[in-house]
Amino acid sequence: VTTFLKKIVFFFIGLIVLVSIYLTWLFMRHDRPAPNLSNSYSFNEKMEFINKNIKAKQIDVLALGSSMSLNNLHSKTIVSELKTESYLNTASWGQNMEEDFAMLKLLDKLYQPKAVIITTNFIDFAKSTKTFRYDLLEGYLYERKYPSLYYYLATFDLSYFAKQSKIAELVRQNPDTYEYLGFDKYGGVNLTIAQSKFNARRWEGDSLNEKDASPVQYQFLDSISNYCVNNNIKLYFFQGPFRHGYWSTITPQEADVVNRHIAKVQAQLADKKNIAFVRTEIEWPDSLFADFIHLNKEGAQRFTEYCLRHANMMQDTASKP
Amino acid sequence: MLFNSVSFAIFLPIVFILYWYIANRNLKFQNALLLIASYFFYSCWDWRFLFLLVFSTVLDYFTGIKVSESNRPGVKRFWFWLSISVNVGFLGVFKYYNFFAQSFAEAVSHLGWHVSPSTLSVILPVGISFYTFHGLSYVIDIYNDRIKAERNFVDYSLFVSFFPLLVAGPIERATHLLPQLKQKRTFDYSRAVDGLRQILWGLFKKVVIADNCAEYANMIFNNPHDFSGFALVMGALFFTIQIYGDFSGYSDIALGTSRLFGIELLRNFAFPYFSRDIAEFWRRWHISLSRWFRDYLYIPLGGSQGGTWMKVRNTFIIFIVSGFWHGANWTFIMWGFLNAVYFLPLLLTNNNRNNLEIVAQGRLLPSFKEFTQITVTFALTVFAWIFFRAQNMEHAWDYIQNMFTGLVHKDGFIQTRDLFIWKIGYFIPLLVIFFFVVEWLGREEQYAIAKFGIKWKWPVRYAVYYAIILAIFLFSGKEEQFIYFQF
Repeated sequence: VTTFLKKIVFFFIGLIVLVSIYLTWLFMRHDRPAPNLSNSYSFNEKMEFINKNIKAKQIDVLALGSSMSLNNLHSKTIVSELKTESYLNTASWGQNMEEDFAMLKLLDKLYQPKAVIITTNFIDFAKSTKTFRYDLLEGYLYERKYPSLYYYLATFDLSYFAKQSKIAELVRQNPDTYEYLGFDKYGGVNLTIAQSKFNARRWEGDSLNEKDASPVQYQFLDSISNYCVNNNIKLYFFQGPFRHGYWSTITPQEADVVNRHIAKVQAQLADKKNIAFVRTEIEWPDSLFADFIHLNKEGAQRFTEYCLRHANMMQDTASKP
Repeated sequence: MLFNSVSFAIFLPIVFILYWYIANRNLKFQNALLLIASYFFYSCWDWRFLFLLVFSTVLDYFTGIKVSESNRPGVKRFWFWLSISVNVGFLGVFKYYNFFAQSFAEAVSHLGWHVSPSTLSVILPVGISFYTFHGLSYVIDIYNDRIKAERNFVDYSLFVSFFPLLVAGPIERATHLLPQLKQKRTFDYSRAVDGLRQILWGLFKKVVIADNCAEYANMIFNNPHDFSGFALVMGALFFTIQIYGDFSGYSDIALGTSRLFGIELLRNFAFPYFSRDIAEFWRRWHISLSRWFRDYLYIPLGGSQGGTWMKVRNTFIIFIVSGFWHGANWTFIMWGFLNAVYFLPLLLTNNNRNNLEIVAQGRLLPSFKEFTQITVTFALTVFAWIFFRAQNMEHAWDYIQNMFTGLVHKDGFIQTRDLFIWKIGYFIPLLVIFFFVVEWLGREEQYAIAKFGIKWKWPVRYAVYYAIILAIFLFSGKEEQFIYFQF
């Protein structure tokens, strides 16, 4: 038995050496990806950004959500309009209401925010296929009891490293792509892709189908708003616009799907204390977009200005006797 | 605790070390340790169902003794039927109650009556079909005087609950496993290495082959309207490979794990996709279940001893019951029925025992005739698996209808080509082909790599093992639960 076990041990030591050599080569050739805390690469990158850069124990304003919050919010505008440097954008690609609610609870526990900003569009109410390691997040983001290596080992997946190493290199270094994740100091990313690099499929956009939105996600929106009301957090909820060229080509049925969705969201948030729901015009000029729904940097700045000024106006109106 | 999980990778070495270092001096300790480990393993799924497992074990243990001790046929019969009824009753409640209630409501709705069946919201206890069949075979064997009742409760409990076979088989027999549990077991180095090699191959089958194919099979089966006929054929093919990789992979891990403890389990798979007819397929697929049904259902019903009508009846019964054993759904019954239809011509022409040995024994390649036979059998099997995979009969018909509509249409081929280019890629299909080549080369062994490179020098052999492990790490598909856990 001892000989057998010895051989096994040597075999596994050999395996560890082999894997270490492979990973060293991989990371030298490309880049070391973030710990595998979810099956969303953008989420993992965002969590690593927070782990490395955010040391504050309390943050006044948090942005949550999908790429609508990640790309369509302009960090500097938020900082200047809300008059606080204490701002963090925690959004990542494809986060839906369910994930926003889970993250809201976690982030509230960690940073006790005074205000939360969520920007959404119809696509953020779809069913999710994502899995987040919430059990590890608190330790990774806030407590930092263990070094990063612990989280790499706790979520170890060689195929993840093999696949993501090259992607890590691309998303961190190439601002000329939709996938760019070179976060500004607040965690936001605005798209600055040259028009010649626009992706035709993304520019033309997808068709909109009522089935794409899951009824459960509207319940999670309720949970988010109730949570904010109960915990005295101001909620800014922004509805993003569509590209004019896209909106003018969709069918009346598709337009109806979106309009009904917006009305539903508005009705859910209406009359709730401390919640500012702002919707822009449904279509904005093509020159402000990077695809059918994601704004470019200028678009993001204008959108953020518009939404926050409207929200502040609403607040002023509400506070007048 | 899945076999392909980190927790099992921690659990197994701990039990192994305790078994061979601490408990090795005493057989009773070894068995007690394995029993505790098995109950711990099972409680990791859901500890509440442990009570059901223990109850079923206690019931069969005592009824087994009562049946064995009784001299009066009436008393013997009473204890026998008590055990059978409770075991089948458990299966009926946990696995089939909702199916019968809903099917009854649907059936009477055709007569214009509307019944709202009260369904039970119960979770199916993991492995119930497997351990219930262990208990059933044990009591039936005692009743038929094939074996004596086991007096040692720990040994009997271990026979029912031994962790490698507890949740998805192989379905063991008391005549095979109990004598091994009563014998002193000494560590055999080459046997343990062989066990590890089989575990490694099982993991490769499950994690690399089955889980990757599952991703594509799910994509196509979940959206049959989005794909062309030819792509749907590919979907069925992916599922065919998935279920083999998944279940035979599980069985390999179970057999290999058991061998580490000096215990041999029944072989469950013998390269079924190289079968030349359906009868041979059923001698090579889920062997322990096929033999269970043969011995405890087919033969008691008269087997193939009676006239033609009896043969036909028994064939349909065994296949349909076998389908139903897999799950409470008409799709499984249809799958069983279809296999009976495939099997019948062979039975009626007395050709059902033609191919007893593995194909092309001692040769590298099959003859043209053998190749054709393998291809036809494989195609029939692929078609039958559509029912097995479908969510319900409507889904199955829909899938088949779409599959045959425009099967040879040019656009369909283009769409399938695009599917491979954009979604699936060529690497995984190439890996699957490589897997079948290895399986073919090793088809005369217990499992494909049993003798693979055995005469090579250790650095080369180790390099192959490292390559398999790295393939498991690098090319693993999205983690899927073993398919047979739901049964």
